[in-house]
Amino acid sequence: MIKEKEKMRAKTAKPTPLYGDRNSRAKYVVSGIVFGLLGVIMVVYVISLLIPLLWTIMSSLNDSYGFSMRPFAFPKELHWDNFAYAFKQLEVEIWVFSTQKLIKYSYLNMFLYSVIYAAGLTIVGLVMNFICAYPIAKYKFFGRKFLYNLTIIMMIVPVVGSLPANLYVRRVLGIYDNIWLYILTTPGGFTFNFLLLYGFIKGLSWNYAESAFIDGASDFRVMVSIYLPMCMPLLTGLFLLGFVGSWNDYTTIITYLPSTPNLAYGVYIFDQYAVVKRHTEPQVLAAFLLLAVPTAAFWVFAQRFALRSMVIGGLKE
Amino acid sequence: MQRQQTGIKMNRHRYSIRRGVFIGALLAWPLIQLAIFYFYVNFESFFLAFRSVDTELNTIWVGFSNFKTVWQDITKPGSVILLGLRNGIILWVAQFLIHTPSSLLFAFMIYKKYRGTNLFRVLVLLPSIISGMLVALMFKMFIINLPKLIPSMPDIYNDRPFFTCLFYSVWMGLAGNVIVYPNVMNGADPSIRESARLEGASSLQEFWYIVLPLVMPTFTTFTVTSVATLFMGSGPQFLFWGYNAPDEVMNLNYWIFTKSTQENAALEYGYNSALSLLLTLITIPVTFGVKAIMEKADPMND
Repeated sequence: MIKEKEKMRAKTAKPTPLYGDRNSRAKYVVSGIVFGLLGVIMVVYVISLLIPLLWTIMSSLNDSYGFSMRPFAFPKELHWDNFAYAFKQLEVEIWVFSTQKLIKYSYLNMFLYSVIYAAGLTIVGLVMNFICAYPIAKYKFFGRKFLYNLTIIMMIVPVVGSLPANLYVRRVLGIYDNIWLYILTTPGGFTFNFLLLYGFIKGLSWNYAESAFIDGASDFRVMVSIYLPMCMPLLTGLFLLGFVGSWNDYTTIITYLPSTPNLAYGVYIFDQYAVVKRHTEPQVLAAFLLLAVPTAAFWVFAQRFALRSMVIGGLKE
Repeated sequence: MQRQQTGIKMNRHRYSIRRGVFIGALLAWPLIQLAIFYFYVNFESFFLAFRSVDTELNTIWVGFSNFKTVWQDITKPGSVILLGLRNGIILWVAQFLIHTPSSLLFAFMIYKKYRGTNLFRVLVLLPSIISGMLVALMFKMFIINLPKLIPSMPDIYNDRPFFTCLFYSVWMGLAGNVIVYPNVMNGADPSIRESARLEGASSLQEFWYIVLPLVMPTFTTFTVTSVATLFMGSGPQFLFWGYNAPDEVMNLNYWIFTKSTQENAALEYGYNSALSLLLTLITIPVTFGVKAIMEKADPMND
C-alpha cells in the first residue's frame, strides 16, 4: 500500500527545474564566489605576465654594475646608450656554404629579411588558402569533399618528427636555404586558415555570382571582383596574426634558412653570445626591446582587426 | 528547335570545360605542393627510417638497423629517449589539466563581458605578439636574478631545470584560446540564454548547461590536435639552454630538433626518422581513441 502511494507520488510530482529553485540564493552566491575568484586569478595572472616585461624595460636602462648589485632596483641613471649599443651590435655572422664566405648581417639587413619573410610567407599562404577554399566551398566537382576531409585528417593524424625528411627533401630538390623558394613552396593551401575561409565563403550568397554571370562575367572575374573583397575583413585579420607569428619565428630560420637571418634570430644569437662578446645584461635586455617594441606597437594598432571572425568548427564530417 | 537544343548543349559543354579549367588552374599548385611537401615528405620520412645518410646526402639501405639502435637507446639504463617520453607526457597532462578549465572559464568571462575582460584579452596576447622567444628569454633572466631579490629562494633555473620548464609552459598557456572560444560562445542563440536566465540559471549554470555543450566541437578539435604533441610538445629548452640543455629537461621535440640542425645532421636523419616513425605509430591510435571518446562525451552529438 505504502509502495503504491510512493509510486503515485512519483508519477504526479512536478519535474525538478534544471536550474534548481529560482528563489534559492545559494547558487547565485556560489556562482559569485567562483567568478570572483576567477577575476582575482585573472588580475594576478596579467600582473605576472607584465612583471618580467616591465622589469626588462627598467633593467635595460641600468648599467652593468647597478644591474649586478641591485637587479630589481630602479636605475640611478638612465642609460639610453644601451639601446644605441644594441642597435650597432645586433649583427650576425653567417658562414654561407654556397658562396664559401662569412657574411655579416646588420640590424637593417635582418629587419629587411624579417619583412620579406613575414609578409611574403603570410601573403602567399593566404592566397593559397583562398584559392583552395573558394572552389571547394562554391563549386560542385569530383573530389571536393575528399579534399575537405583530407584537410581535417591531416590536422588530426599526427605525423611525428618529419623534420629530418623535410630537410632531406629540400636539400635534394635544391631549395634548402633559399628564402624566395621557401616562401613559394612552403605555405600550403589546406591548413587551419583554409577551414576558416571555407566556412566563411560557404556562408556568402551565390546570388551575387549568378547576377554577374548573367552580365557576362567569368568565374575568375566573379572570384576576384566579388568574393575576394567580401573576404577581405577575415583575410586582413588572418594576415595580421600570420605576420606577427612569422615575424617572431626564429626556429624556421635556424632550420631552413640559416643564410637569411631575421631579427628574431639576430636577437637570439645576441643573447647566446652575450658572454663571449661581452655584452652586459642591460644591453642584452635593450636588444630584446628593439625587437619587442615595434611588434607591440603594431599589435596595439592591429588587434581590433585581428580579433574578429575567428571561429573554428568541429571535426565532425 | 533541334538546332537550338544542340546549341544549348554545346554551350553548356563549353561552359563546363571553362569551369573545369578554372577550378583546375586554382587547385593545381596547391595540390602539387601538397603532393610534394606533405605526402612525399612523409613517404620519404618512412623510407629514411630504413636508410643511412651520409654528409653528401647519399643513402644506403640498412633495413631495421636504425630501429635496433633506437631500441638499444630506449632500453639502456638512463635512457634519454625514455626520459624525453616521460617529460613530454608530464608536460602534456599538466597543460591539459590546468589549461582546459582556465581557458574555458576565462573565455566565458570574456563572453559575458565582465568588467576589465577586454583589457585582459589584449594583455594576455601580448607575450605571443612581442614574441614567445623574447618572453622566454626575459623570463630566463628574471628567474636567474630572482634569488638576488629573495635570498631564501632556491636557484630553480640551475637546480630544478625541469620544474622551471614545466612552470613556464603552464604559466604561458593559462589563458590560451581567448580569441577563438569567446567568438564561438557568441554563436549561442540569445533566446536560449534569455530563457535560461528567466528560469533562474546562475552564471555558473549557464556555463555548464549551455555554453560548454556549445563549445564542445571546438574543444574537441583543439584537444584532438593537441594529442599529436603528446610526445613532441615543444618547451623553452632551446631558448633557455641552446644546444646544451641538461638531460633532466629532455623532450623528444628538442632531441630531434637539435640532432637535425647541428653540424653533420644528415648522419642522424635515418635514426631520427626511425624514432619519429615509432612515435607516429603510437600517437595515431591514441589520437583516434581520444577523438572517439570526445565525440561520445559531446552532448550535442546525439
